[in-house]
Amino acid sequence: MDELLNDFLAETADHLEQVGSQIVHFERDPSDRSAIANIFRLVHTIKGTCGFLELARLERVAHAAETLISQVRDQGRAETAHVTLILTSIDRIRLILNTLEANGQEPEGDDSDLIAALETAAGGESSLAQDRPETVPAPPAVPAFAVHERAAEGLDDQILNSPAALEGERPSLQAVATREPSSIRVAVGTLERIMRLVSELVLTRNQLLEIVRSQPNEELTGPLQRLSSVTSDLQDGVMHARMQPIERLFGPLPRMIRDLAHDLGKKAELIVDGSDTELDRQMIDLLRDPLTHIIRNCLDHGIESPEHRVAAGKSDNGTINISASHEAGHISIRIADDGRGLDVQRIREKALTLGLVSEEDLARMGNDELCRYIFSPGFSTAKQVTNVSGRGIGMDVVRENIESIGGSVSLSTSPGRGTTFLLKVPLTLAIAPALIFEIGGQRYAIAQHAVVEAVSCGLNGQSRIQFAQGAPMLELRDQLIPVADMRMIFGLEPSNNPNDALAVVVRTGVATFAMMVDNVADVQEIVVKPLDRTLAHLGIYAGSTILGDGSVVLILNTNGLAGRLGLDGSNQFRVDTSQQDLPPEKTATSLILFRAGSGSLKVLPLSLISRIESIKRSEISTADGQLVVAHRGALMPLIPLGNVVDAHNQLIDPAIENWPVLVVGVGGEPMGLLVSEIVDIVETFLDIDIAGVTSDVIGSATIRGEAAEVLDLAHYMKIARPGAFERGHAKRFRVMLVDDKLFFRDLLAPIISAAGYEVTTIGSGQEGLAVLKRGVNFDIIVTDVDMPDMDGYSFARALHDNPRTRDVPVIALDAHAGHSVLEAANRAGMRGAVGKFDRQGLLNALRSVLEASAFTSSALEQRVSGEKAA
Amino acid sequence: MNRPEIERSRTSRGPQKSEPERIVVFTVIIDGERFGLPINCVRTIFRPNAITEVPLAPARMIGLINLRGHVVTAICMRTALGLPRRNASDSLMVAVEHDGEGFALAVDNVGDVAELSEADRISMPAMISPSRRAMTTAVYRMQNSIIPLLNIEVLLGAENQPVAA
Repeated sequence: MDELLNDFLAETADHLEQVGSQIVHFERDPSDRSAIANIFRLVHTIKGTCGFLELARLERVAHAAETLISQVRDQGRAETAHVTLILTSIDRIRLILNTLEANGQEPEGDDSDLIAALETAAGGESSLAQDRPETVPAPPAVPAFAVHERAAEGLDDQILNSPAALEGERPSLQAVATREPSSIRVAVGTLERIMRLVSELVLTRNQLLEIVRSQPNEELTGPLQRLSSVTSDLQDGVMHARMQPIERLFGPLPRMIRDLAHDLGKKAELIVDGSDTELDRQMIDLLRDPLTHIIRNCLDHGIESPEHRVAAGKSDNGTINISASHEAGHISIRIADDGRGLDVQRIREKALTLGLVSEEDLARMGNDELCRYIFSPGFSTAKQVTNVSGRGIGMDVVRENIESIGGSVSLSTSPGRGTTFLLKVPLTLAIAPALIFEIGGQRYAIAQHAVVEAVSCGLNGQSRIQFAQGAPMLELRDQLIPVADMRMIFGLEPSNNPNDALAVVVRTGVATFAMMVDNVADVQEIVVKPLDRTLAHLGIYAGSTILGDGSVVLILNTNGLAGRLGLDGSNQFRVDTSQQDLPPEKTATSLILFRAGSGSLKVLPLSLISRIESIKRSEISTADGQLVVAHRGALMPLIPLGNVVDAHNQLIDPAIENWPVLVVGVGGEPMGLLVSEIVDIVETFLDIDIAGVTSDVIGSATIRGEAAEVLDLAHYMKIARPGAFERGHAKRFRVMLVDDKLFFRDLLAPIISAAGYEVTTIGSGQEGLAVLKRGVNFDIIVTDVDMPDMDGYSFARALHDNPRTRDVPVIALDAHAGHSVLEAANRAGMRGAVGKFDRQGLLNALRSVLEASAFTSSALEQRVSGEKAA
Repeated sequence: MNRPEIERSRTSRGPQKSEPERIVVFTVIIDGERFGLPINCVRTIFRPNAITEVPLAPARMIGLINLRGHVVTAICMRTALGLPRRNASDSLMVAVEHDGEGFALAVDNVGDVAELSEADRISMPAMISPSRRAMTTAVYRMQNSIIPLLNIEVLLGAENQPVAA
């Protein structure tokens, strides 16, 4: 009997959550019969089961509510009073259920007032209510039947909700048998246990893989690979079983908004999008409070009163939009209102009053940056305290809650138009990708979502450490980032190898800082295990995990570290939000600057250009309306850029005898870009400031203080060599990037493509071979050396053994491209080895290896500089 | 080395529950002295291989150990009792469970399972240092030795523990 009661409680709790939103929905749209029908079914089910479980009080309330609901359903229209009454009944039912769950008994209490009100509301139709007693004895039979069937067939009690059950007719057994159960109810504890076991299995599998890697055993390889893939599938499966639609989180919101709006004398409606987005059930529970709080704020501070809205020329009905979506390993939840927006002036004043920021800093801040202050503790701009929000706690708690689960919250506001909050949270807390690095000979892990980038900061590195009043700061591009010297924090000796130091740049909600570590070892999916209380209390550790080799590794808590560094203080609150949604990689690109006629400076990435030729005016002729030049025994089309020719394809500038031509397309089908002057070759960051409006320009960028047009080479190639694209050659160098870790693929691919190459990312050596086998050609292959199943060296050897791929250069990639790696790479026939975090090294290697075959960049540059000098 | 399970079956006479004045303890040896641990929280005995150090943790925390897929916190009993620390690899680990969390207590050696009688309980000697006193539930006399019963709660509890600077 107890078990039946538990099942009943669990199921009704789920249904109750949905019903609140259904009623509001019905109130708004009375023509939607399905909503009220659902509500009716729920209450009816409760009533029926109550009789069976001998819950008299619940039965009476459910019965009275059912009468009114059925009346509303039949009339197809809900009066506000009725809706409120129905909501009250649902609340009462929930109250009774809660006590029932806690004590196993119905609470003492009197519902006669509510029942009387419900009966009065049902009013003239009381005959309906009097009809009911006849049907009351029937329901016990129905659940008894249903429960029995469920036990036998694993059927859920959908049957109770079926129309046939409502009519009091027993569905035929045949109908029951043919209905496949689409879901079964599993206790959370069972799932958690399976999850834990799968985690152990993953660890054991990793240990086995490690053993076989060090002691290769032919016999084991096959079964182990199978075990490996089955384990991964199982892990996915269990993860998936824990997933629930975010509907569970959004379900109660319409009801909440209705009630709140009513209290505040406002009108608001909720539009929900993406409620089928799935995430871990644990996350759903953890998100409930923060989300509720944000919505309360939207309603209280954001949405104006109907009069104000009308005065502002808006509809009197405010709208709150909530949408959820999956985005590469995490969930985005966007909450947008169309209210008055944040009061930027008040935030400004408050930030000054609280001493959070200096006036000079304030003047430089954009609105969105300024608005982040509402997430600092004790920051509330509400002029009066209401019971809805505005008690000065809230947004900081929201931020803390979201960050404690590895998420982030940001907002943007626009005066008079509304405010948008954006929450980003991981899909799950149980298994997370983490960056593993070493400090003082011991490995540590950090959640990968916090990592912005890793840069070498030793003497030979790309970034330098500077000291501001004794405090180390990392100079990264144009930013100064506070540095946490982990050795110092941990009380260890300073590294005896400072030249190789690496800085892992992490971003928490409050601060961006760089952790100095000895080296970065790996990226792994880790199973997070909680720490005991004493260690958790330290604040700088978020948990521990067991790696494949069985060793225990501590997971650092970036928020706690920020606190230890004193970065959670209010004046360090400012975060560089400018890179928030950009890919974190920004890298210098070699650019060729030139002029074409009288227009502005033009730019192309140097890697796109294979040669620069100088062509005499007399050699240029016209064929088929196109400028051509005889080039290596064939005709090469010339594309005049800018305004170097007039409307009749005649070269404008008579002063130039030798025309510089940028030749594009190695081998295959070259074409020439006719320009009037090569200005220089520079290495700089290519930031497109203004997107182009014409098809031949990608956009404008500031280079050396001068505005320059970044040309879209593809546009010209389509004109000159329309077939070239389809034939798949005469274009950029194609780079195959092989790494088993998504993190590194995501890290390196943009770097390579930003330098002007075309990148294809591949997850394993086998896959790479398969792609090559299909006939896809690559100019160069960059491969990680440390990969499961087939390491980079074997991959390189396999490439070398195939005559078709023998000549494709291969570069090795390793976390730390030391001497031993380089030697092994050479033995495997590779052309070089670079570190994964050495972006400049990678680009240099790519360029030198690629260009060695056709031309050399240095020769090109020398020539340009030579010409400049001449 | 004697396994506690075996020892228990040998030493325990009759059901313990009906004789509340008799308690069974697992004895460990630290710096030549015998201490008792409540038997119901002792899980297993093992020798540690790899220990992950936890920087900034209280001095008594040796680090984290992978015990058959579970991460347990290792605590140096010598440090806890104010004695000079010894190399962790020379120690034996007694795995204990407290409040759902796993710990490993590093001790010099393990002894027998002993049965103590409430009748043999003696008042706490006055010269015991306050920190040790807090860690001791009671002191018993057994044959010709004295066995302090350690208070697991205080030993493992996170509160009122000085955090090493």
